Amino acid sequence: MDKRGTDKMLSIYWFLVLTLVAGGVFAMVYIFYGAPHDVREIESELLAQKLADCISKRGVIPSYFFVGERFNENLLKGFTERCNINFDVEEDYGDENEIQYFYRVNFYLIRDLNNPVFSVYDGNLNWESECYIKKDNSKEYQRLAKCTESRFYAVDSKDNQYLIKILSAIGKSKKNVKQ
Amino acid sequence: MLNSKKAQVGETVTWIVATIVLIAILLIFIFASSILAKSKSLKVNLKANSEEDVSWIDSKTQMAYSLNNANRNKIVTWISQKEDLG
Repeated sequence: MDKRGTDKMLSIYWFLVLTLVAGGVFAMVYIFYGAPHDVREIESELLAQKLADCISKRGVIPSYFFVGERFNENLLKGFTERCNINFDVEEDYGDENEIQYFYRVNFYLIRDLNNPVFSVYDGNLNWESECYIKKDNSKEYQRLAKCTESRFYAVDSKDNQYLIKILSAIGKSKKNVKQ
Repeated sequence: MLNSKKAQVGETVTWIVATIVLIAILLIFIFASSILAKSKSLKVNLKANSEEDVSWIDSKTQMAYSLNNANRNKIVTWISQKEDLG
């Protein structure tokens, strides 16, 4: 019996299967590696650490934070540069040309933990309100800023006790979330 | 002989079913890849010392305790109340 025709059909079929499997593997790899890693949470923790290093040197707040008994109001301007932090690092700030970082540092006395005696902030204020929105895993919430709240304790040179709260926020949703 | 092609039909049907199963398995794997891609996240413990369970910022609190240990319970309570904003 002449079965050469059957073999030729099978060869075409095997090429078809090969193409199908190759396409499937390509699709899997593209889907997995095409999704970006969201590193904003780590980035916000690192920003908080950098600020904490600036505020507390071995548990002591440096003397330039104070003028006499009060906090130095001049720190409200230039605190970011003083801590060697640079927000001007993104080539593309997005459509609105906005800064992608924000922080707020609040200092509290032991006797009143609800009202800060001193507060300094810098960056894009829009991210602060997004921090307190309850988030789930849906795509809309993933595009909101990622925030970290850090709290620690320090003393000044006269052993006065201060509680410090740092809120750090990172925007940059275009680079960290699949659009 | 030319009229009876049952064996040929049977073999062809087998290949069709095999192709459908192959496509279904590929689709399952592609779906699994998309699920894994969505769950990609980086969790890093920024510890001061990898042997101890103390974060870098908590180590600053510990150093401050060595200078002034007063109101420790109040401080610990306040620090533990930090919000999880992730």
